Formats: sequence, C-alpha cells, structure tokens
Amino acid sequence: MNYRTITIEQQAERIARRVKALGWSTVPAPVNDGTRRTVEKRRLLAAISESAGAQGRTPRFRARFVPPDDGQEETAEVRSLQE
Amino acid sequence: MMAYRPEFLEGLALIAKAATAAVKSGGTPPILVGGAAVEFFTGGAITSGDFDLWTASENLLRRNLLIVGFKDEDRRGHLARGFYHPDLDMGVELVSGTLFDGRCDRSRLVMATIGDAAIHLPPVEDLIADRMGQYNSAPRKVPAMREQAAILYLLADDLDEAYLERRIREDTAGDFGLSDLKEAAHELSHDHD
Repeated sequence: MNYRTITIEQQAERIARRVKALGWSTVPAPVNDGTRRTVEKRRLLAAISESAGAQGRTPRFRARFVPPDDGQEETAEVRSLQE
Repeated sequence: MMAYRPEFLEGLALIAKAATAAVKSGGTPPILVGGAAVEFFTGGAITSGDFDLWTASENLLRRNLLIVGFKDEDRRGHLARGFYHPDLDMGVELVSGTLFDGRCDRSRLVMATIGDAAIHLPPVEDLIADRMGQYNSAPRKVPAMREQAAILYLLADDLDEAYLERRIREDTAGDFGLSDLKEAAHELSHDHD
C-alpha cells in the first residue's frame, strides 16, 4: 500500500509553518478533563504514577484521572493475555 | 520549528521501533490513534499521557514493546492491555477490533518515520471526526473535544473535505458536519492570537 510518508522533523516544521500562517504565537491546548477515561486507562495512569513515586519523583507527565477503585470490575474491553 | 516534548519523541521512537519489528516479523502494522496521534498532528501542542495503539497482531506487538523497555501493567495479578515505560512515564494501551469501526479509509493512512523506524497513523480527517464524536458523546457535550477538532482542522494541510464531512457525520450519528467544524474553527481562530 502506498502510504503518505512524513518524517517527524518534517511534521514539526509543517506545523510551525501553519501556526505562523495563522498568526498565532501559541497553539491553544484544550485538555482532557479525565472524567471519561475507562477503568483500564485509569489503571494504566495510576501504574505510571506509582512507578514514578517508587523512584522518588513525580511523573514527567501528569494526566488527569480519577484513581481506579480496587473493587471496580473489568469492562468487556479488558481481557487477559495470559496463556 | 516547534518542539515535541522529549518524552513524547522518546516514547514515539520506542513504539515505532517495536512496531517496525512486529511488522518485520509478519505482523500487521500497528496504528497510533487517540491522544498521542492528536499530539503528533498538533506538533505537540495538545499533549497526551499515553499512546493508544490499534493492532491486529497483539501478541507480536506486546513482545516487541517489552523488548524495547515497556513493562506490563499487571498490578492486578494478570496481564491487561496496558504497558508503561518506567523512565519515560509514558503508557501504551492496545486497542483491537476494527479501526474506527471499519470506517477509516486505509488507503489514506500516514506513515511517520522517526529515525530508522516507522509508525502508522490514521488520516487526520478520522481524528477530527473522532474528536467531534467525543464532543457529541454527552448530553451537555464535551467542549474541549470540539476545540481539539478545530485545532486539528486549522493545522492540517490538504484535507479531503468530502471525506471529512462523511466521517464527521458518521461519528456524530448525523448530528454534526463539516460546517459545524468550520464554525468551531472560525470561533477559535477569532478568539485566539
């Protein structure tokens, strides 16, 4: 299949040109408020937070999320990969 | 040149390496979707806490993610579909099923190269439609998602407006279309300097 290809450097330059053309000094950055994250996503973000904490630091990226409830049931989207 | 966050670039490079290895082993190319794809298409302006990877070759990709340094999110005693990198604080979640409910035109996929590895992304039109769908997903709407869609639209080149119109209609159950996106983009470009 003939995919449209671009390097990460070309993409960064392309976006910079678009921002300049728009006359913006910055790009607005609306954030995900975290209220609609799935249970599995919240578990993953909690694992990252705990991993950073175990290393005595705060996470390099702090996502908004409600910590998962230990008793919370898995959703149908989560399935075990164990043999 | 705009700067992507170092941890995004490092995480993307590792994921591209894992994806490339999975493809070389005969797997289907994984596709970066969700917030990290938005981060890519906005030059890092809108950031994401994790990488959502659609894959049809889950076990193969999983093995390669572990090889490049990601850890299983297995705190509950069994393996789920999440991984995280303990140094980068970046997560990966595997997504299966059909890509965008089978509505994405795969001939429009983008292949981004980072170093000597590559990762595929959906066409930006599909990401815009997905954000519009998320905007429409709650009775009171989710304004940040409409704004993200507008930013993606404003920062994109060479959009196929007919395809974009169709995809927005599909992802919003017909409630919104291209004209609504253009209105959001107009408001944003007017209000932001």
